[in-house]
Amino acid sequence: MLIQIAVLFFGLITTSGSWDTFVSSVSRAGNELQFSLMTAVLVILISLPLALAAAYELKKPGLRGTIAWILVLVPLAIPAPLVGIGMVTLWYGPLLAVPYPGLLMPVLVAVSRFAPIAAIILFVQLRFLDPLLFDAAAVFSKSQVKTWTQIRLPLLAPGLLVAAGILFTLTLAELGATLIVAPPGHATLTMRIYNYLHYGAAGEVAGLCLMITILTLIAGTGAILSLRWLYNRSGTFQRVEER
Amino acid sequence: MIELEDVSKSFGNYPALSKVSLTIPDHARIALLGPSGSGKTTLLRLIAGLEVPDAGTISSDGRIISSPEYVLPPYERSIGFVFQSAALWPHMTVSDNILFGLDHLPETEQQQRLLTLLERMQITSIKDRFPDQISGGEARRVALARALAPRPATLLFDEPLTNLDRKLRDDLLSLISESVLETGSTMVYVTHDEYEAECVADTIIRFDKGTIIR
Repeated sequence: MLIQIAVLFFGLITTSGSWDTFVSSVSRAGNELQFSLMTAVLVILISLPLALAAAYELKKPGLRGTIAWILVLVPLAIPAPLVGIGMVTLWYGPLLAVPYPGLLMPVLVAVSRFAPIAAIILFVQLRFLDPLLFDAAAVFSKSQVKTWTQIRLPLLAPGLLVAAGILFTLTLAELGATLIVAPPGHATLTMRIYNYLHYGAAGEVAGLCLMITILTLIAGTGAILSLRWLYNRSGTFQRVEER
Repeated sequence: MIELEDVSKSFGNYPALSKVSLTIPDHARIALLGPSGSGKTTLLRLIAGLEVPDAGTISSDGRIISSPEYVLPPYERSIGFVFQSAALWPHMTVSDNILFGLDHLPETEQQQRLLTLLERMQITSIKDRFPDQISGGEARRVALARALAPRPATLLFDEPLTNLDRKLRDDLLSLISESVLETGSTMVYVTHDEYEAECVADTIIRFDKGTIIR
């Protein structure tokens, strides 16, 4: 994996040319960078609560759980452009034909495409947790807020962190649906790369791709460091060392 | 006094409990004895309010606390629960686990209870450790301390000594018996082990196939 990353970095650095070229290509894409980051953060904030609610439904037995699984899996099977076309059709229908902020559509398509993945990650996390931990919280806690903040969220934190990291990465790289729904005057980094590709601006493309790779690595490293901090805090690593 | 009247509970097509009626007087020490799958844990969870009965009612001091239409939340029942797997929250220290249910008390009272229980359970030396860093026997002591901390009217034990060796089990059985006697709480102790039942309870109720057989 390290070799893969190194080859990618070396290739992009070589193609993007000098440091100055990289800086200028990134600075010229400042608006797109800001738009992409805001989209990714909003997608995380909207998707995680939805995914958590869905994960609890996925755990339910019988028909309810089956329906939840269908609702989660079907969006994953829909091609990205079709999600975009569907969203445009829906939004320009008679019921929703109202002005909306520029971020809304890119955020909505990313949520509809990637929230199911976050739901599956959180479902797996829930399956690994002893349900008696939640029963104990119900017995000993008088407050739902306390149960959520002190028991449920800390127990789910690893899954939430991983899901947030994956949502960030996938949203940053999303193109197929965003290209269709992004309103005039708004573009993401990947859309700018796509536009540059038409003109054969290899250096610019490589610089922006390098930027996306760096952002993804920062998000991944942040998630890993947070996970390590969580496990260190709960003593898991110390215990392994003691053995 | 806790009264169960014609309580039934099924999971899908599997009937876990069938029309169980039982009276648990105040300060009684009752053991529910039966093989795995006999419904005794389900009964305990129904008393705790962790499950909703399909039929029948559960009352506490004449007030209905569980029925198919209404379930009083577990934390409003003045119960302490010791789960089979100890169920200590892994991200909290031993002290934090014990203190968790005491936030309605002043800080000094919380610390007083904590210190008393740590000493009583002989776990003072591990008070700052996390559950991953303590042994199975210590975890059961912490679970017992957590259940005792709020001084509940009823203590519920769901096979709390499973997978412990004989010596450790005997030590903990003594500790449980003494603690329950000291607090005067009503106790319902679920086990499949006759020896454990005889050690801790003054009444043994035998369970099989979702009904009381004796």
